[in-house]
Amino acid sequence: MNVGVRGRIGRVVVWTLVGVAVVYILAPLVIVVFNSFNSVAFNQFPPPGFSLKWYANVFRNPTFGPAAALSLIYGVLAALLAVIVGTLGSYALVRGRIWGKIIVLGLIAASLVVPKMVLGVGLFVFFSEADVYGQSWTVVVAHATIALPFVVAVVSAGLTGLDPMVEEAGLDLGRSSMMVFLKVVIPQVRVPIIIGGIFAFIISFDQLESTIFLTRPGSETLPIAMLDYTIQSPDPTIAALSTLMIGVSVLAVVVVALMMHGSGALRLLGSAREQEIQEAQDE
Amino acid sequence: MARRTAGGARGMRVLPWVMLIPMLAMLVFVFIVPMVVFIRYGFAVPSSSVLEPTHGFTFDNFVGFFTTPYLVAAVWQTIWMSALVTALALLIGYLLAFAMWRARSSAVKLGLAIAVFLPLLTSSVVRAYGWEIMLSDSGPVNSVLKAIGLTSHTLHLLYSWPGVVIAMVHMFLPFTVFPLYNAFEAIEPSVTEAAADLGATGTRRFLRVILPMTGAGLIAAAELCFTLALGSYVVPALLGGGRVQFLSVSIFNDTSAVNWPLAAVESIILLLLAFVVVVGLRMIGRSRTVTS
Repeated sequence: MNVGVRGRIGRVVVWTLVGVAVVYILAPLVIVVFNSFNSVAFNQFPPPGFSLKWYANVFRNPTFGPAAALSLIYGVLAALLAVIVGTLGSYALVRGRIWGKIIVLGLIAASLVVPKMVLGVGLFVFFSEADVYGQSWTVVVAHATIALPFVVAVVSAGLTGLDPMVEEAGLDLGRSSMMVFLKVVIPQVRVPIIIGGIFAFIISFDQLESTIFLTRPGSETLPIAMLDYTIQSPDPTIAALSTLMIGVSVLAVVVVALMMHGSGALRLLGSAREQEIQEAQDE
Repeated sequence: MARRTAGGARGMRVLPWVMLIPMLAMLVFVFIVPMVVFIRYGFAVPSSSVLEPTHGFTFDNFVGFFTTPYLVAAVWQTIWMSALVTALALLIGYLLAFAMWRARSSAVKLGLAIAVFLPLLTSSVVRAYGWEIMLSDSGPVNSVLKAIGLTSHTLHLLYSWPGVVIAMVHMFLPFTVFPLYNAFEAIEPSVTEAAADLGATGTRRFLRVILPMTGAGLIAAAELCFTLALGSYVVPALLGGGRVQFLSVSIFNDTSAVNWPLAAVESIILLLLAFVVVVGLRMIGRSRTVTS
């Protein structure tokens, strides 16, 4: 009885704290949306009036449009490159009995923890010495390399769950190992590949620390254009642009959630059913 | 049977090497070689030209760095703020992952997951800008704190270290929740049941069973969060207002001032810090599994 009461109090405390944490997570995003309709230029709270002029400002700004297009292109290309290279590499690491596997895994881990600004300066120096600085493909390969550990983590996890017997059956039927990889392995890890690709796109789209050193003035990506604008004129124009971006993100989440519905998205979150049964047994 | 597996094994023996080549090439040419080339700059004799290929070999750049008080101060500030950010992010992340794990309805579970994931879909510049509004002298945080009577005078959170910490925790929180949630999900339901059957109370069950079993997740989350914090630039640059000395901010400023050797020295120190953090945390993780 005493334990039951204490358990209930504990539960209330935990869920109250969770509520506070969720407010902490969402507050800065909500305030950005709120402030985009502010009628005054400085960030006054609560706003004295309502206005849509900052949205007009976004579309009048000559740099945001091209920067967004560039970020989109870089993001898609970097995601494609990271997914292709990462999926091939993951399969080699999961299935192959390869000498020096630990070295490759160590390199991937190192590329994950290396500060991206340090990598960015290093790439700038290297690309300058190789005389390719400023070429678009350098940004794509840099972003793909930064996204690689995430793709490898997600795809490897998917591959580890596969039954190697299925692939052996394919080989037994006389298919080449490349055919088996393309027709047997890839379809089974379709969902992790898509998730890895989405991660890679997000990482590229938001990558700023390294990109600062890789783009020439006048061909900035969106995060750089936004940072420059924020430093020069911290008015709600950036809030309006941010609100538009948050809107696109939310829309993307909904679309992806609907696309994935029933095909593994919920399974990734753990099976809620088992949880319910277990807790029913707890009581 | 033996013939067929042998044939299959041969096919699968050559293929992994071929498949690994693109990844290896990318890691070598877009990561290792550029880093080595850049690290060389840290030992080069400074030159006045913009990008004079390195010449000479000297430790003077390091001596110069460690005898400049504000640069050494930047190292310390980077370390203790990253450690604080990691500790807070782990605390909040653990709570959220625990709640996601314990949530009975899958709607609550999904809602929490989306709340945690949503900031990742928002540009880091947007999030930093959001905190700039939140923490400003006339912003919501000060308004709310005054309204509920927690403080009577304005807290200057912006352009000082507390504001930077608050925003950095927010920035890296999602990276702690996901490894921790995976750790929780890996716990067999039968284990907590057994503990309950043996009469362990909720608190004991948590401290003796759940906490140790999520240790590996905590180490993984700490590693990712700490190294991300060490290298973070947007938040200290925007919310630090020049008063928070972070190594990454110094690196950017030094490259703008075309002081390549100094930028390289700072980068080498940042790399070493990340290395020490990773190795240190892994050693803690290993000793933990040996003793338990």
